Amino acid sequence: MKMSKYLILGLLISTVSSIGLSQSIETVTYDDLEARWNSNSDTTYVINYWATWCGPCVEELPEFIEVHNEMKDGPFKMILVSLDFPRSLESRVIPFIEEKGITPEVVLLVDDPNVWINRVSKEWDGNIPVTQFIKGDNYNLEVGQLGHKELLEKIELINN
Amino acid sequence: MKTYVLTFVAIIGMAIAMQAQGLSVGDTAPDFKLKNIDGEMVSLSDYDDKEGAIIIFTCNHCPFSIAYEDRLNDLEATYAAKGYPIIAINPNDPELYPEDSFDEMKVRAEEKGFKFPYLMDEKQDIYPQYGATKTPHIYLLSNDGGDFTVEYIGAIDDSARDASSVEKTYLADAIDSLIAGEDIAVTETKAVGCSIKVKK
Repeated sequence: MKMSKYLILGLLISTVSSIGLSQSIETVTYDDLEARWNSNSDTTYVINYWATWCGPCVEELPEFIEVHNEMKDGPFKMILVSLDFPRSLESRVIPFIEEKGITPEVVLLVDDPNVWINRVSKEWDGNIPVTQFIKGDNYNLEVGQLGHKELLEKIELINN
Repeated sequence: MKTYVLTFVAIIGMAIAMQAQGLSVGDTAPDFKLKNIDGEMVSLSDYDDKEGAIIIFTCNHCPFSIAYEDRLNDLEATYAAKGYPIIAINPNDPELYPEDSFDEMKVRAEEKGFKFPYLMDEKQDIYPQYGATKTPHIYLLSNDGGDFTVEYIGAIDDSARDASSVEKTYLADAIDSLIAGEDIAVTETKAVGCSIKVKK
């Protein structure tokens, strides 16, 4: 009897924590990210580096969400790579995602900036927002804020 | 085909032109004369009796800059006495970010007890000469009789978001090397920062 009580309690705890997990954001390294697009050359990847505290990043987000919603059923994957402070994930990033209705996948990048920034591009200094467009061997990097039309143009360009 | 080659050449040309803007390690740093939060004008040439200077493009609003404020105070406490004082410069247009206004700079410097000048690049014409693209963005200079040479460009350390998990103190290491008369092991690093907010 006592045993089953603990069992139920245990089940409850694991259910609650798995619900918690489903709302959490994966923390990734640049290797993890690169493995995503390297393993799937038929898909067009749009990888946007942003943070909740970055003004121009937040301004362009609605365009990204809209384009994602238009294209998500095709061979298309958008990942919003957050550079927020890890300690503000629960207090700031997750509420922000809910509030803004962010539909693309959000991950948190934690890696050595002096290494991963150069892997994104030797020409890029680390100023955000920045967006990668990747399909197979095609690679393009756009530094700065993008509008809806530009975003579609860059996707079109990388697909051809 | 010809058009493609030409376009390609044009793109390469643009890339070179873009790179040429701003300073590289080994270049001579240009002088400036900018208003400090105390109302006085400050020039790089005011520092010609020092061993060098740490130019830091930073601002009030950027969380990555804020995350470094205490570390700037530590650097100033350690290295000003050794001849490498900090000169902080806010390159942003305060019309776009009111938090970065001259008055707000005074408030922040007061709150944080900055012992170094905090200048405003009011005409936004100094940061492009240095080639700064973001805040924070660091240029470590050495001084030889009033000629300031760029010795290191980039980040303060390898962990902007968490001071407790810093493993590589790039800037401090570079200054230590200069003081010891040794070659700087890492002369350029990259870090995430807030893009400089330019008047459109």
